[in-house]
Amino acid sequence: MNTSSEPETGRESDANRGDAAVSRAEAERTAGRVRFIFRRAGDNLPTRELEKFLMAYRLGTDPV
Amino acid sequence: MNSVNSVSLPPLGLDLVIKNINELPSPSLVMVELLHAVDQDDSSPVALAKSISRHQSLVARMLRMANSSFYGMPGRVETIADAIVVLGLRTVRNLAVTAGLFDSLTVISAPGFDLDNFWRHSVATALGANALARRMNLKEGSAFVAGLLHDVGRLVLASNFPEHFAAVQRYQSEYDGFPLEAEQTILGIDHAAIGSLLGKHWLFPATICNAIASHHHPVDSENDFLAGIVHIADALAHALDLAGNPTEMVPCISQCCWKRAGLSWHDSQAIFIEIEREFNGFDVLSKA
Repeated sequence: MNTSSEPETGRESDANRGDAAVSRAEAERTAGRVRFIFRRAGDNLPTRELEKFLMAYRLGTDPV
Repeated sequence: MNSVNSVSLPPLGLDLVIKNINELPSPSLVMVELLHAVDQDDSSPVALAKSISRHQSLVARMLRMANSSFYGMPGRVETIADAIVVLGLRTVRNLAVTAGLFDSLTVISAPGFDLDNFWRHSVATALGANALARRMNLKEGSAFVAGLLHDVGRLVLASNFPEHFAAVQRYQSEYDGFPLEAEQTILGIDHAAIGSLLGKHWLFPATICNAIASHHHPVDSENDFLAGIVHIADALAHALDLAGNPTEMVPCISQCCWKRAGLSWHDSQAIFIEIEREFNGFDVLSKA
């Protein structure tokens, strides 16, 4: 149930959902490419750290 | 026996490689002098302009690059001295070395070799090595040149031993392997050793030859700092995916080199940004 005092129009919410889906799909593609490029890193810690940094850089987030 | 090696190839011995390298066209003396000046980091603006001006094709290429829209001064850079004022000494020096080596190496014919991919990776590695060297207060010029030349042995392999090179590529494709392990398995010698031999034959500075030779397995030593820098820059370049290689793959990084570089998240982020920004300026090279 929508409890907002100013409910968004159907067209706006569809557009927002569409943008979010595109962003999510783009982020998943980006993350997938980074994982692919690091596919032979194994348990090498420096390489895994670089992967973490690169993933954060590509996704515009902080490294986790 | 693996399937890619089922067609027997003659062994690729050191003597045969050296004989072939000796037959390759050499870079001009001016280019070799420029490399040594860059290695010594003693290229003053006047000396650099003088050195570049002695190489007419280099002057023409440099001015086309400096006047490209990327640098925002189209048609306004008329001399090498102008280029140094507008772009800065470091950028002109790096552009000159890249353009000169591009001219020297593209005369080596290698059908089937993706030269564009090779140059893009080489330039990205050179920029990464330059950024790392600056951060570590080490010679930026040497680092740039060593990064630019680190894989030159692959070009020699492709041009002089096309059948061997094709077998290496088949192995890589079949096992999703790194070039180094494929070369060692199929040929018994690798591009790092071959590149170092070429550097010695072409009278490149010893520091550069050593960095080419050991960029995949740098020794944990203060004297081997340049190989360590190129080793990490190579990984950064692969990670940034700038070469346009669909099967791009980051090689494993040496623990001691990574520790010595001491890259935090913020350092890494700054270096990623710097490499990508400067890379766009060098991308005009292939069109200049």
